[in-house]
Amino acid sequence: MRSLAIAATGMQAQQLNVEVISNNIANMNTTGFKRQRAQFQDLLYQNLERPGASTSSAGTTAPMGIQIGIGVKAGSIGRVTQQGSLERTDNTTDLAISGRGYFQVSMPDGTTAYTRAGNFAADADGRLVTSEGYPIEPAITVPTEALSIAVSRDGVVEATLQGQVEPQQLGQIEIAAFVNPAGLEAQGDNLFLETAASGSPNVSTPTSPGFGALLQGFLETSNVNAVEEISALIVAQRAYEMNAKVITASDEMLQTATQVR
Amino acid sequence: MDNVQLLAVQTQRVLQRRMETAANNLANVSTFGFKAEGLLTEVDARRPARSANLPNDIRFVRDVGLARDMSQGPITHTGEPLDVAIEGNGFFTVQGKDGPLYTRDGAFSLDDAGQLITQSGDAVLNSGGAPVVFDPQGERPQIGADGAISIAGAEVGRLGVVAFADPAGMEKVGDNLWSSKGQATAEFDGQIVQGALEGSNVNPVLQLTQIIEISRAYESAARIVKNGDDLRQRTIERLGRA
Repeated sequence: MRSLAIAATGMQAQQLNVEVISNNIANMNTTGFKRQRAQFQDLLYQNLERPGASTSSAGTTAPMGIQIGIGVKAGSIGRVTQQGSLERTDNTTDLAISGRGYFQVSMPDGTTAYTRAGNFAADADGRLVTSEGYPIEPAITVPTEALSIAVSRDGVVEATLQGQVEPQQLGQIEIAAFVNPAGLEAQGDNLFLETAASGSPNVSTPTSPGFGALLQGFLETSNVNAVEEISALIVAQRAYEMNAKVITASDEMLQTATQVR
Repeated sequence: MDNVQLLAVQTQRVLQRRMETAANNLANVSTFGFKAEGLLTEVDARRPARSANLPNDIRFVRDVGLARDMSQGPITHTGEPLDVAIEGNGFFTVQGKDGPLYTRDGAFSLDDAGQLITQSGDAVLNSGGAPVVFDPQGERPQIGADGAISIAGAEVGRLGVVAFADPAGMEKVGDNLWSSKGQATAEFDGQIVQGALEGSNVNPVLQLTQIIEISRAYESAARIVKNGDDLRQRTIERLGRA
Protein backbone atom coordinates (compact mmCIF):
# COMPACT_ATOMS: atom_id res chain seq x y z
CA MET A 1 0.00 0.00 0.00
CA ARG A 2 2.05 2.93 -1.29
CA SER A 3 -0.56 5.48 -0.26
CA LEU A 4 0.43 4.98 3.41
CA ALA A 5 3.99 6.04 2.66
CA ILE A 6 2.84 8.86 0.36
CA ALA A 7 0.60 10.32 3.04
CA ALA A 8 3.43 9.96 5.56
CA THR A 9 5.66 12.19 3.39
CA GLY A 10 2.79 14.70 3.31
CA MET A 11 2.50 14.65 7.10
CA GLN A 12 6.26 15.06 7.52
CA ALA A 13 6.25 18.01 5.13
CA GLN A 14 3.40 19.71 6.96
CA GLN A 15 5.09 19.07 10.29
CA LEU A 16 8.19 20.86 9.01
CA ASN A 17 5.93 23.63 7.74
CA VAL A 18 4.42 24.04 11.23
CA GLU A 19 7.92 24.07 12.75
CA VAL A 20 9.02 26.85 10.44
CA ILE A 21 5.84 28.84 11.11
CA SER A 22 6.19 28.40 14.87
CA ASN A 23 9.78 29.65 14.73
CA ASN A 24 8.55 32.69 12.81
CA ILE A 25 5.84 33.39 15.37
CA ALA A 26 8.29 32.87 18.25
CA ASN A 27 10.56 35.50 16.67
CA MET A 28 7.81 38.01 16.04
CA ASN A 29 9.53 40.50 18.34
CA THR A 30 13.16 39.63 17.55
CA THR A 31 15.08 42.64 16.27
CA GLY A 32 16.19 42.20 12.66
CA PHE A 33 14.60 38.74 12.33
CA LYS A 34 13.77 37.61 8.79
CA ARG A 35 10.93 35.14 8.47
CA GLN A 36 11.42 31.78 6.82
CA ARG A 37 9.26 29.85 4.42
CA ALA A 38 9.18 26.10 3.81
CA GLN A 39 9.12 25.31 0.10
CA PHE A 40 8.06 21.89 -1.10
CA GLN A 41 8.78 19.77 -4.14
CA ASP A 42 7.14 16.65 -5.48
CA LEU A 43 9.14 13.44 -5.24
CA LEU A 44 10.09 11.18 -8.11
CA TYR A 45 7.37 9.63 -10.23
CA GLN A 46 7.05 5.93 -10.90
CA ASN A 47 6.24 5.26 -14.51
CA LEU A 48 3.87 2.32 -14.47
CA GLU A 49 3.08 2.82 -18.11
CA ARG A 50 5.14 5.24 -20.16
CA PRO A 51 3.33 7.74 -22.35
CA GLY A 52 3.86 6.68 -25.94
CA ALA A 53 4.22 3.01 -25.08
CA SER A 54 3.17 0.72 -27.89
CA THR A 55 -0.28 -0.83 -27.42
CA SER A 56 -0.53 -2.98 -30.55
CA SER A 57 1.47 -4.36 -33.41
CA ALA A 58 -0.35 -1.90 -35.71
CA GLY A 59 1.70 0.90 -34.22
CA THR A 60 -0.88 2.44 -31.89
CA THR A 61 0.55 4.07 -28.79
CA ALA A 62 -0.81 5.06 -25.41
CA PRO A 63 -1.51 8.82 -25.50
CA MET A 64 -1.01 9.15 -21.75
CA GLY A 65 1.06 7.11 -19.40
CA ILE A 66 0.45 6.26 -15.80
CA GLN A 67 2.78 8.07 -13.48
CA ILE A 68 2.31 7.56 -9.78
CA GLY A 69 3.94 10.20 -7.65
CA ILE A 70 5.42 9.02 -4.40
CA GLY A 71 4.87 12.10 -2.28
CA VAL A 72 6.44 15.36 -1.32
CA LYS A 73 9.67 16.62 0.25
CA ALA A 74 10.95 19.88 1.61
CA GLY A 75 12.89 21.43 -1.26
CA SER A 76 14.29 24.29 0.73
CA ILE A 77 13.54 26.63 3.58
CA GLY A 78 13.79 30.07 2.09
CA ARG A 79 14.47 33.20 4.07
CA VAL A 80 12.29 36.14 3.13
CA THR A 81 14.72 39.06 3.25
CA GLN A 82 12.11 41.81 3.02
CA GLN A 83 12.84 44.90 5.09
CA GLY A 84 11.23 44.85 8.53
CA SER A 85 9.58 48.02 9.74
CA LEU A 86 11.70 50.58 11.56
CA GLU A 87 10.87 51.36 15.13
CA ARG A 88 12.03 54.49 16.87
CA THR A 89 13.80 53.83 20.20
CA ASP A 90 15.72 57.12 20.72
CA ASN A 91 18.62 55.10 22.11
CA THR A 92 21.77 56.61 20.55
CA THR A 93 23.51 53.24 20.14
CA ASP A 94 20.54 51.61 18.37
CA LEU A 95 21.13 51.46 14.64
CA ALA A 96 18.93 50.22 11.82
CA ILE A 97 19.82 49.59 8.19
CA SER A 98 17.23 50.87 5.76
CA GLY A 99 17.93 48.94 2.57
CA ARG A 100 20.50 46.30 1.71
CA GLY A 101 23.37 45.32 3.98
CA TYR A 102 24.41 43.63 7.21
CA PHE A 103 26.43 44.89 10.18
CA GLN A 104 29.71 43.03 10.60
CA VAL A 105 30.46 41.46 13.96
CA SER A 106 33.83 39.99 15.11
CA MET A 107 33.26 36.62 16.67
CA PRO A 108 35.45 35.35 19.53
CA ASP A 109 37.03 32.79 17.14
CA GLY A 110 38.22 35.54 14.81
CA THR A 111 35.63 35.02 12.08
CA THR A 112 33.13 37.64 10.98
CA ALA A 113 29.41 37.21 11.45
CA TYR A 114 26.66 39.39 9.98
CA THR A 115 23.51 40.77 11.55
CA ARG A 116 20.61 43.10 10.89
CA ALA A 117 19.98 43.57 14.61
CA GLY A 118 21.46 46.96 15.48
CA ASN A 119 20.72 46.97 19.20
CA PHE A 120 24.31 47.77 20.13
CA ALA A 121 25.67 49.07 23.43
CA ALA A 122 29.04 50.15 24.76
CA ASP A 123 30.90 47.58 26.84
CA ALA A 124 33.26 48.27 29.80
CA ASP A 125 36.03 49.36 27.40
CA GLY A 126 33.68 51.66 25.50
CA ARG A 127 33.57 49.39 22.42
CA LEU A 128 30.28 49.14 20.56
CA VAL A 129 29.12 45.52 20.98
CA THR A 130 26.07 43.38 20.21
CA SER A 131 23.84 42.16 23.01
CA GLU A 132 26.16 39.10 23.29
CA GLY A 133 29.18 41.38 23.72
CA TYR A 134 30.74 40.76 20.31
CA PRO A 135 32.34 43.96 18.97
CA ILE A 136 31.24 45.37 15.65
CA GLU A 137 33.73 45.56 12.84
CA PRO A 138 35.53 47.93 12.21
CA ALA A 139 35.67 48.50 15.96
CA ILE A 140 34.23 51.74 17.32
CA THR A 141 35.38 52.79 20.79
CA VAL A 142 33.44 55.46 22.59
CA PRO A 143 35.68 57.47 24.96
CA THR A 144 34.49 57.64 28.56
CA GLU A 145 34.33 61.44 28.46
CA ALA A 146 31.90 61.41 25.55
CA LEU A 147 28.67 63.24 26.23
CA SER A 148 26.82 61.87 23.26
CA ILE A 149 27.50 60.09 20.01
CA ALA A 150 26.02 60.71 16.60
CA VAL A 151 25.90 58.27 13.69
CA SER A 152 25.29 59.70 10.23
CA ARG A 153 23.32 58.00 7.45
CA ASP A 154 26.59 57.02 5.79
CA GLY A 155 28.01 55.42 8.93
CA VAL A 156 30.38 58.08 10.31
CA VAL A 157 30.40 57.92 14.13
CA GLU A 158 31.20 61.14 15.99
CA ALA A 159 31.28 61.95 19.70
CA THR A 160 30.83 65.24 21.49
CA LEU A 161 33.41 65.39 24.24
CA GLN A 162 33.29 67.34 27.45
CA GLY A 163 34.72 70.83 26.98
CA GLN A 164 35.16 70.54 23.20
CA VAL A 165 33.20 72.41 20.60
CA GLU A 166 34.07 70.30 17.56
CA PRO A 167 32.82 66.69 17.64
CA GLN A 168 35.52 64.06 17.44
CA GLN A 169 35.30 61.39 14.75
CA LEU A 170 35.37 57.90 16.27
CA GLY A 171 35.24 55.78 13.17
CA GLN A 172 33.30 54.62 10.17
CA ILE A 173 30.75 51.79 10.31
CA GLU A 174 30.90 49.58 7.24
CA ILE A 175 28.19 47.19 6.15
CA ALA A 176 28.36 44.06 4.02
CA ALA A 177 25.99 43.11 1.20
CA PHE A 178 25.54 39.66 -0.33
CA VAL A 179 24.43 38.54 -3.76
CA ASN A 180 22.09 36.03 -2.19
CA PRO A 181 21.33 37.08 1.39
CA ALA A 182 18.78 34.24 1.61
CA GLY A 183 21.75 31.85 1.40
CA LEU A 184 23.35 33.06 4.64
CA GLU A 185 23.56 30.48 7.41
CA ALA A 186 21.68 31.49 10.55
CA GLN A 187 23.87 31.06 13.57
CA GLY A 188 21.41 31.98 16.34
CA ASP A 189 21.76 35.15 18.42
CA ASN A 190 20.54 37.07 15.32
CA LEU A 191 23.86 36.31 13.61
CA PHE A 192 24.48 34.95 10.14
CA LEU A 193 27.55 33.37 8.57
CA GLU A 194 28.76 33.53 5.00
CA THR A 195 28.22 30.35 2.92
CA ALA A 196 29.05 29.22 -0.59
CA ALA A 197 25.42 29.99 -1.52
CA SER A 198 25.42 33.52 -0.14
CA GLY A 199 28.56 34.57 -2.03
CA SER A 200 31.36 36.55 -0.49
CA PRO A 201 30.54 39.81 1.28
CA ASN A 202 30.89 43.09 -0.54
CA VAL A 203 31.85 45.61 2.14
CA SER A 204 31.25 49.30 1.73
CA THR A 205 30.08 52.38 3.57
CA PRO A 206 26.32 52.83 3.99
CA THR A 207 24.47 54.85 1.29
CA SER A 208 27.04 53.95 -1.38
CA PRO A 209 25.30 52.54 -4.50
CA GLY A 210 23.50 49.30 -3.75
CA PHE A 211 23.75 49.71 0.04
CA GLY A 212 21.24 50.86 2.61
CA ALA A 213 21.47 53.84 4.93
CA LEU A 214 22.00 53.82 8.70
CA LEU A 215 19.39 55.28 10.98
CA GLN A 216 20.42 56.16 14.49
CA GLY A 217 17.88 55.70 17.29
CA PHE A 218 15.90 53.14 15.28
CA LEU A 219 15.71 49.36 15.30
CA GLU A 220 14.53 47.11 12.49
CA THR A 221 11.68 44.95 13.78
CA SER A 222 11.06 41.38 12.72
CA ASN A 223 9.43 41.10 9.29
CA VAL A 224 7.03 38.42 10.56
CA ASN A 225 3.40 39.27 9.90
CA ALA A 226 1.30 37.65 12.63
CA VAL A 227 -1.90 37.37 10.59
CA GLU A 228 -0.06 35.80 7.67
CA GLU A 229 1.66 33.28 9.94
CA ILE A 230 -1.51 32.29 11.77
CA SER A 231 -3.38 31.72 8.54
CA ALA A 232 -0.42 29.69 7.23
CA LEU A 233 -0.55 27.69 10.46
CA ILE A 234 -4.24 26.90 9.94
CA VAL A 235 -3.60 25.79 6.38
CA ALA A 236 -0.67 23.60 7.47
CA GLN A 237 -2.68 22.03 10.26
CA ARG A 238 -5.58 21.17 7.94
CA ALA A 239 -3.21 19.77 5.35
CA TYR A 240 -1.69 17.59 8.07
CA GLU A 241 -5.14 16.34 9.02
CA MET A 242 -5.99 15.55 5.42
CA ASN A 243 -2.86 13.46 5.02
CA ALA A 244 -3.71 11.66 8.26
CA LYS A 245 -7.14 10.94 6.76
CA VAL A 246 -5.45 9.26 3.79
CA ILE A 247 -3.56 7.02 6.21
CA THR A 248 -6.81 6.10 7.98
CA ALA A 249 -8.53 5.33 4.68
CA SER A 250 -5.57 3.26 3.44
CA ASP A 251 -5.53 1.42 6.73
CA GLU A 252 -9.23 0.64 6.36
CA MET A 253 -8.56 -0.72 2.88
CA LEU A 254 -5.81 -2.95 4.22
CA GLN A 255 -8.11 -4.11 7.00
CA THR A 256 -10.78 -4.95 4.45
CA ALA A 257 -8.23 -6.90 2.47
CA THR A 258 -7.17 -8.95 5.47
CA GLN A 259 -10.78 -9.67 6.45
CA VAL A 260 -11.78 -11.12 3.10
CA ARG A 261 -11.14 -14.57 4.41
CA MET B 1 -14.70 -21.66 -13.95
CA ASP B 2 -16.38 -18.51 -12.79
CA ASN B 3 -14.02 -15.68 -12.13
CA VAL B 4 -15.95 -13.27 -9.99
CA GLN B 5 -12.95 -13.18 -7.66
CA LEU B 6 -10.55 -12.16 -10.40
CA LEU B 7 -12.88 -9.35 -11.44
CA ALA B 8 -13.02 -8.02 -7.90
CA VAL B 9 -9.29 -8.34 -7.38
CA GLN B 10 -8.58 -6.37 -10.57
CA THR B 11 -11.02 -3.69 -9.34
CA GLN B 12 -9.15 -3.55 -6.04
CA ARG B 13 -5.82 -3.20 -7.83
CA VAL B 14 -7.12 -0.22 -9.82
CA LEU B 15 -8.63 1.29 -6.66
CA GLN B 16 -5.28 1.04 -4.92
CA ARG B 17 -3.64 3.00 -7.71
CA ARG B 18 -6.39 5.62 -7.54
CA MET B 19 -5.73 5.86 -3.81
CA GLU B 20 -2.03 6.39 -4.44
CA THR B 21 -2.75 9.17 -6.90
CA ALA B 22 -5.12 10.88 -4.47
CA ALA B 23 -2.57 10.47 -1.65
CA ASN B 24 0.10 12.11 -3.80
CA ASN B 25 -2.27 14.98 -4.59
CA LEU B 26 -2.96 15.56 -0.92
CA ALA B 27 0.72 15.24 0.02
CA ASN B 28 1.43 18.03 -2.47
CA VAL B 29 -1.30 20.38 -1.28
CA SER B 30 1.39 22.97 -0.36
CA THR B 31 3.74 22.42 -3.31
CA PHE B 32 4.18 25.50 -5.50
CA GLY B 33 2.89 25.05 -9.04
CA PHE B 34 1.69 21.47 -8.41
CA LYS B 35 -0.98 20.10 -10.75
CA ALA B 36 -3.46 17.53 -9.47
CA GLU B 37 -3.78 14.18 -11.19
CA GLY B 38 -6.44 11.53 -11.51
CA LEU B 39 -6.29 7.98 -12.80
CA LEU B 40 -8.33 7.26 -15.90
CA THR B 41 -10.06 3.91 -15.90
CA GLU B 42 -12.03 2.13 -18.57
CA VAL B 43 -13.70 -1.18 -19.29
CA ASP B 44 -11.17 -3.43 -20.95
CA ALA B 45 -12.88 -4.08 -24.26
CA ARG B 46 -10.22 -6.35 -25.66
CA ARG B 47 -10.20 -9.04 -23.03
CA PRO B 48 -13.63 -10.21 -21.80
CA ALA B 49 -13.60 -11.86 -18.43
CA ARG B 50 -15.37 -14.94 -19.72
CA SER B 51 -15.53 -16.52 -23.10
CA ALA B 52 -19.28 -17.26 -23.13
CA ASN B 53 -21.07 -15.21 -25.74
CA LEU B 54 -23.48 -13.33 -23.55
CA PRO B 55 -25.30 -10.14 -24.60
CA ASN B 56 -23.63 -8.23 -21.78
CA ASP B 57 -20.10 -9.40 -21.57
CA ILE B 58 -18.40 -9.35 -18.22
CA ARG B 59 -15.25 -7.33 -18.53
CA PHE B 60 -12.34 -6.22 -16.42
CA VAL B 61 -11.71 -2.64 -15.45
CA ARG B 62 -8.25 -1.26 -16.21
CA ASP B 63 -6.30 1.93 -15.73
CA VAL B 64 -5.44 3.49 -19.04
CA GLY B 65 -3.73 6.69 -18.19
CA LEU B 66 -3.40 9.71 -16.07
CA ALA B 67 -5.48 12.86 -16.44
CA ARG B 68 -3.81 16.05 -15.30
CA ASP B 69 -5.80 18.99 -14.14
CA MET B 70 -3.86 21.83 -15.74
CA SER B 71 -6.06 24.57 -14.30
CA GLN B 72 -4.50 27.61 -12.69
CA GLY B 73 -3.45 27.29 -9.06
CA PRO B 74 -4.18 30.14 -6.65
CA ILE B 75 -1.72 33.03 -6.87
CA THR B 76 -0.56 34.33 -3.52
CA HIS B 77 1.43 37.51 -3.12
CA THR B 78 4.71 37.24 -1.25
CA GLY B 79 6.33 40.58 -2.13
CA GLU B 80 9.69 38.91 -2.72
CA PRO B 81 11.25 40.27 -5.94
CA LEU B 82 12.48 36.85 -7.06
CA ASP B 83 9.15 35.06 -6.60
CA VAL B 84 7.45 34.77 -9.96
CA ALA B 85 4.09 33.21 -10.82
CA ILE B 86 2.63 32.31 -14.21
CA GLU B 87 -0.96 33.19 -14.93
CA GLY B 88 -2.12 31.14 -17.88
CA ASN B 89 -0.75 28.17 -19.76
CA GLY B 90 3.04 28.20 -19.65
CA PHE B 91 6.21 27.02 -17.95
CA PHE B 92 9.53 28.51 -16.91
CA THR B 93 12.49 26.92 -18.66
CA VAL B 94 15.11 25.37 -16.42
CA GLN B 95 18.47 23.91 -17.35
CA GLY B 96 18.30 20.12 -16.89
CA LYS B 97 21.06 17.56 -17.26
CA ASP B 98 19.91 16.52 -20.71
CA GLY B 99 18.23 19.54 -22.23
CA PRO B 100 15.68 21.95 -20.84
CA LEU B 101 13.12 21.02 -18.21
CA TYR B 102 10.05 23.04 -17.29
CA THR B 103 8.51 24.20 -14.05
CA ARG B 104 5.68 26.34 -12.72
CA ASP B 105 7.34 26.75 -9.33
CA GLY B 106 8.68 30.31 -9.45
CA ALA B 107 10.31 30.45 -5.99
CA PHE B 108 13.65 31.51 -7.45
CA SER B 109 16.77 32.87 -5.79
CA LEU B 110 20.25 33.96 -6.79
CA ASP B 111 23.39 31.90 -6.36
CA ASP B 112 26.78 33.36 -5.41
CA ALA B 113 27.50 34.28 -9.06
CA GLY B 114 24.23 36.22 -9.41
CA GLN B 115 22.63 33.47 -11.51
CA LEU B 116 18.86 32.97 -11.15
CA ILE B 117 18.23 29.46 -9.79
CA THR B 118 15.34 27.25 -8.71
CA GLN B 119 14.93 25.74 -5.26
CA SER B 120 17.10 22.79 -6.30
CA GLY B 121 19.80 25.08 -7.67
CA ASP B 122 19.13 24.54 -11.38
CA ALA B 123 19.67 27.57 -13.58
CA VAL B 124 16.58 29.38 -14.88
CA LEU B 125 16.93 30.07 -18.60
CA ASN B 126 16.05 33.19 -20.55
CA SER B 127 14.25 33.35 -23.88
CA GLY B 128 17.55 32.72 -25.66
CA GLY B 129 18.17 29.50 -23.71
CA ALA B 130 21.02 30.94 -21.61
CA PRO B 131 21.03 31.24 -17.81
CA VAL B 132 19.65 34.49 -16.40
CA VAL B 133 22.49 36.32 -14.65
CA PHE B 134 22.22 39.52 -12.64
CA ASP B 135 24.90 41.91 -11.56
CA PRO B 136 25.42 40.75 -7.95
CA GLN B 137 25.74 44.27 -6.59
CA GLY B 138 23.13 45.84 -8.82
CA GLU B 139 19.59 46.91 -8.21
CA ARG B 140 16.83 44.38 -7.70
CA PRO B 141 15.31 43.32 -11.04
CA GLN B 142 11.81 44.18 -12.21
CA ILE B 143 9.96 41.49 -14.12
CA GLY B 144 7.19 42.59 -16.44
CA ALA B 145 3.96 40.81 -17.33
CA ASP B 146 5.57 39.50 -20.53
CA GLY B 147 8.60 38.14 -18.65
CA ALA B 148 10.88 41.04 -19.59
CA ILE B 149 13.55 41.59 -16.95
CA SER B 150 14.64 45.15 -16.44
CA ILE B 151 17.11 46.68 -14.03
CA ALA B 152 16.76 50.36 -13.24
CA GLY B 153 14.44 50.78 -16.23
CA ALA B 154 16.72 49.16 -18.82
CA GLU B 155 15.62 45.82 -20.25
CA VAL B 156 18.34 43.19 -19.80
CA GLY B 157 16.57 40.07 -20.98
CA ARG B 158 13.43 38.03 -20.90
CA LEU B 159 12.49 34.97 -18.86
CA GLY B 160 12.18 31.88 -21.03
CA VAL B 161 8.47 31.17 -20.57
CA VAL B 162 7.02 28.69 -23.02
CA ALA B 163 3.68 27.03 -23.55
CA PHE B 164 2.82 23.57 -24.86
CA ALA B 165 -0.12 22.51 -26.98
CA ASP B 166 -0.76 19.49 -24.75
CA PRO B 167 0.64 20.23 -21.28
CA ALA B 168 -1.22 17.23 -19.84
CA GLY B 169 0.91 14.98 -22.06
CA MET B 170 4.13 16.11 -20.41
CA GLU B 171 5.92 13.95 -17.89
CA LYS B 172 6.66 14.95 -14.32
CA VAL B 173 10.21 14.16 -13.25
CA GLY B 174 10.03 15.24 -9.58
CA ASP B 175 11.46 18.34 -7.88
CA ASN B 176 8.56 20.32 -9.43
CA LEU B 177 10.12 19.78 -12.85
CA TRP B 178 8.43 18.55 -16.01
CA SER B 179 9.83 17.04 -19.17
CA SER B 180 8.26 18.05 -22.50
CA LYS B 181 8.55 14.52 -23.96
CA GLY B 182 9.67 16.02 -27.25
CA GLN B 183 6.66 18.31 -27.64
CA ALA B 184 7.28 21.50 -29.56
CA THR B 185 6.96 24.71 -27.60
CA ALA B 186 4.19 27.15 -28.43
CA GLU B 187 3.76 30.86 -27.92
CA PHE B 188 3.04 31.84 -24.32
CA ASP B 189 0.04 34.16 -24.07
CA GLY B 190 -0.42 34.39 -20.32
CA GLN B 191 0.99 36.80 -17.79
CA ILE B 192 3.95 36.80 -15.41
CA VAL B 193 3.35 38.15 -11.92
CA GLN B 194 6.36 39.28 -9.94
CA GLY B 195 6.31 39.03 -6.15
CA ALA B 196 3.81 36.17 -6.19
CA LEU B 197 3.77 32.38 -6.25
CA GLU B 198 1.33 29.90 -7.73
CA GLY B 199 0.02 27.44 -5.15
CA SER B 200 -0.99 23.84 -5.73
CA ASN B 201 -4.27 23.41 -7.65
CA VAL B 202 -5.25 20.38 -5.57
CA ASN B 203 -8.80 20.73 -4.28
CA PRO B 204 -8.55 19.12 -0.84
CA VAL B 205 -12.30 18.64 -0.38
CA LEU B 206 -12.60 16.84 -3.69
CA GLN B 207 -9.60 14.65 -2.91
CA LEU B 208 -10.93 13.77 0.53
CA THR B 209 -14.33 12.74 -0.82
CA GLN B 210 -12.52 10.65 -3.42
CA ILE B 211 -10.53 8.94 -0.72
CA ILE B 212 -13.72 8.03 1.13
CA GLU B 213 -15.29 6.81 -2.08
CA ILE B 214 -12.24 4.73 -3.01
CA SER B 215 -12.04 3.15 0.40
CA ARG B 216 -15.76 2.21 0.33
CA ALA B 217 -15.52 0.87 -3.21
CA TYR B 218 -12.59 -1.24 -2.08
CA GLU B 219 -14.73 -2.65 0.71
CA SER B 220 -17.53 -3.59 -1.65
CA ALA B 221 -15.05 -5.24 -4.00
CA ALA B 222 -13.80 -7.24 -1.04
CA ARG B 223 -17.38 -8.23 -0.28
CA ILE B 224 -17.74 -9.54 -3.82
CA VAL B 225 -14.68 -11.72 -3.27
CA LYS B 226 -16.18 -12.98 -0.03
CA ASN B 227 -19.62 -13.63 -1.51
CA GLY B 228 -18.10 -15.42 -4.48
CA ASP B 229 -16.17 -17.59 -2.11
CA ASP B 230 -19.25 -18.33 0.03
CA LEU B 231 -21.20 -19.26 -3.06
CA ARG B 232 -18.53 -21.68 -4.12
CA GLN B 233 -18.34 -23.19 -0.67
CA ARG B 234 -22.09 -23.73 -0.52
CA THR B 235 -22.08 -25.28 -3.97
CA ILE B 236 -19.48 -27.78 -2.87
CA GLU B 237 -21.43 -28.56 0.30
CA ARG B 238 -24.75 -29.09 -1.52
CA LEU B 239 -23.29 -31.15 -4.30
CA GLY B 240 -21.21 -33.12 -1.86
CA ARG B 241 -24.34 -34.11 0.10
CA ALA B 242 -26.06 -35.62 -2.90
